[in-house]
Amino acid sequence: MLEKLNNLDTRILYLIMVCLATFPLMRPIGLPLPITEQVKLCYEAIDQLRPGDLVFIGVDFEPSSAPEAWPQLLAMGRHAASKGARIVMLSMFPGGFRYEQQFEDILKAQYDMQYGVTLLSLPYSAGLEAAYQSVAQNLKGLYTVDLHGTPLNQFPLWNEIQGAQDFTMYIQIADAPVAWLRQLTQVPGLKLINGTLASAASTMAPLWQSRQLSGLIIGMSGAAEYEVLVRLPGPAAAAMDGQSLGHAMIILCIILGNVGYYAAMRKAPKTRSAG
Amino acid sequence: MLNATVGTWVAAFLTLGLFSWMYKENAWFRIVEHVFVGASLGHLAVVGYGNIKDIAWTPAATQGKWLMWLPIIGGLLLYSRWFKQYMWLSRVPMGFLVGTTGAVVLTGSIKAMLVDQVIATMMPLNSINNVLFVVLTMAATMYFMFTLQSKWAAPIIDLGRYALMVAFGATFGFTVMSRISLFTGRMQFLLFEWLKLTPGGG
Repeated sequence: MLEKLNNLDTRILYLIMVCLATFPLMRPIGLPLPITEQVKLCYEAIDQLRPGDLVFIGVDFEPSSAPEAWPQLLAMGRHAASKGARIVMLSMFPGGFRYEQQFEDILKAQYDMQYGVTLLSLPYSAGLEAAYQSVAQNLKGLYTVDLHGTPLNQFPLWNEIQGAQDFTMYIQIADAPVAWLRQLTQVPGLKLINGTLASAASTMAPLWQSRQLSGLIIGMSGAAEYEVLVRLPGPAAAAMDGQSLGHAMIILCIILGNVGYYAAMRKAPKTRSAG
Repeated sequence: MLNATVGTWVAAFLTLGLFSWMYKENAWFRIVEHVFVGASLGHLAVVGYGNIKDIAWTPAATQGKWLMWLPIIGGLLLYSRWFKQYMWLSRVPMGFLVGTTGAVVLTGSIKAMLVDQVIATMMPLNSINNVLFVVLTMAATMYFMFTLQSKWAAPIIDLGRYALMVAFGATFGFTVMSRISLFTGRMQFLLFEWLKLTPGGG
C-alpha cells in the first residue's frame, strides 16, 4: 500500500503545488512572518543614513530573477530614499537597465528626487568583476554618460563625487553572489548591504556571519520581512503565504517519498525469497 | 498602452506554454523553449556587439584612442583556433585573459574570501553556537585532508561529512525557496497583470 507513494502521478503533485502557491495570492491567510536578525540589522543600517549621504544601489539582476530581486530593490531603495540619501544606481548586468529606469521613475514620482541632483542612473558596464574593480578604484574613469546617454559632467551630483570612497553604503541587489563583494570590500568605510537570491544564500551567509556585510536579505522572504519593517506591504509580503504552503508541501512530499521508499525496501526481500 | 497590452498577452502566452510542461511534453512548450533560447542568444549577440562598438571600436576608430585596437586585435586572434596553422596565436589573448582575470579575482579573494573568513572563525567559545561553529568548521576542513588516515581522525572526519551534508541540505532548501518564489512571481503576473484580478478575490 505505502509503496504506491513511489508511483504517484507527478501531475497530481504539480496541481496541488499550483493550488497551494496560488490560492493565498487571491485569499491571503496571514501566516506569521518572523523577522530574522540579518534583515533587522539591514534595516537598522539603512535607517541610520543621514540626509545627503551617498548610496550606491547595484541593480544587478535580470527578468529571470526579478520576482525575488525587484521586491528587495523596492523595499531597501525606498527606505534609503525616505532617509534623504542621494542615490546612484548602476548595473553590471545587461538586463538591469530596465529596472534602473523603473525604479528611477518611482523615486522621482514618490520621493520628489531631482535627477542629477539627488538621483543618478549609470548605464550597464561590461566586465562584471573588472567593472566592480573600476567602481572601487576609478569610478570617474568608468563612466562618461548616464543611463540615458547624457554626459555625466552636466549633473551636479556627479561633479561632487570624487570616487567610491565618498559613498556611505553600497546596496547590492545581486544575481551574481560574490564578484561585487570581492572588489567593493576594498573601499575603506563603505558599508555593504546585500539582497541576494535564495539560491545564493548559502554562499552569502558566511559573509554576513563574518560581518563583511552589514545586512543580508535573502530571497522573497527577506524582502517580505523588510516590507513589514518599513510598513510598505508589497509583492513579497503578499506572496509569503503561498511560499510557506509550498514549502510545507515539499516537506510533506519528502516525508511521504521516504516512507514509500522504505516500504518498498521492506517488501523487496520478501518478493525475492518467495521467488 | 496597446504595446503594453500586446506585451502582456505575449508574456502570458509564453508563461502558460512553459507551465504546460507540467501536464506533459507538448508542442506549445517546445515552441516556447526554442523562442527562449533564440531570444536569449539574440539578446547576448546584441549586447556583445554593443560592447565591442562602444568600448573598443568607436574610441579606436573615431576618437584616436589607438590603445583600444589591442583588445580588438586580441579578440580577433581568439578566432585563429579555427585555422590549424595559426592556432598558436589564440594562446596570446587567452593567456592575457586568464592572467588578468586571475589577478583581478585573486586580489579581492584573499581578503574577502580567506582572511576575513578565517578571522570570523576565531571566536570565543562562550556559547553553544560558537562551539558548534568552530568544531564543525574544523571537522569539515579535515574532511578535505585526503592524506590523513588515522583512527583518531576518522570520527572527526565523519562529523565533518555530516556538517557538509547539513550545509548541502540548507542549500537545497534555499534553492527550493528560490524556485517557488519564481513560480509565485509568474502567478502574480498572470493573476494581477494579465487577468487583472485583485487580491481578496475581486
